[in-house]
Amino acid sequence: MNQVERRIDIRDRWPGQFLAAANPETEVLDAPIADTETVTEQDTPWNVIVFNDPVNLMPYVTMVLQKVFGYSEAKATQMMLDVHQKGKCVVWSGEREKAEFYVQQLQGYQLQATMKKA
Amino acid sequence: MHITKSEDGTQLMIGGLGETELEMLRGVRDAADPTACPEAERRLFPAPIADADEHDFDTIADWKEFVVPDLRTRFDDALDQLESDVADARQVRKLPMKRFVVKLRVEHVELWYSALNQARLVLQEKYKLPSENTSLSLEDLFAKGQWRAYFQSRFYAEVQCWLLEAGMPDGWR
Repeated sequence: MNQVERRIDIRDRWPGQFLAAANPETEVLDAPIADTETVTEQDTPWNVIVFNDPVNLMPYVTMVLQKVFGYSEAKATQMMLDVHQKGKCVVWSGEREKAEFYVQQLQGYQLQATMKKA
Repeated sequence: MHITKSEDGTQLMIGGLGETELEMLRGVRDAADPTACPEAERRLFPAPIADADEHDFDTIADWKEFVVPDLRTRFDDALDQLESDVADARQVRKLPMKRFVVKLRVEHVELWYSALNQARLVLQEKYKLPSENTSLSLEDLFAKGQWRAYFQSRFYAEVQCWLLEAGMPDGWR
């Protein structure tokens, strides 16, 4: 990612948001038993991956991750740094349909994003 | 060159623009055109699935049919908005050098950012510009015919920094 943005400190301007926690009280009763093949296909989680590129500014990547996933600024910043330093980062894992939605969102912000079976 | 926000917070003004800078802003659409550069096309519209197998063909086909056109429209809208705002540039000084000001509404900041980003992504792929981390040689830039694209991309990056600093709309917080 491009280094130009280092002059800008937006930390005070973009307060973090937090994902709503899943309800631990939720109870699943008598879930139907599917055949093995179906379970494998449906339950395989998908990773949404963002790749490093020399164009996107670092604060922008952080802001996009906050906007798309509702991550806190600290979490989004850490992911952005992982992208920058390690070349890529898994920014989300879960159902395939949601993964597709998130990849579309990220590509709409011109991040180099793709999805892959975990 | 400078960027200021109107007192009521509804507009940004990019002032002190010389003819060269204004020309570069007018050139954003051309710079962002990935035609004849498959790498740029692939960068703007990447494949949705890494290591796709035969089970993913339908998803990829659907993506090309529905998602890519949607992204293309979204990207074009951003270019349209920037172009429209730049077309309304006002000359504020003639001597000793012409100076211009471009105004944009705060709601357009995200579209401007997107348009400039598209241009930088395409310039990067077309000209394989050196990254910030590599040592920069002007001689190399000239020899490889990269100098214009390089300075254009640097200028767009500067404007993007200002836009981030000036603030994205509320939806970004």
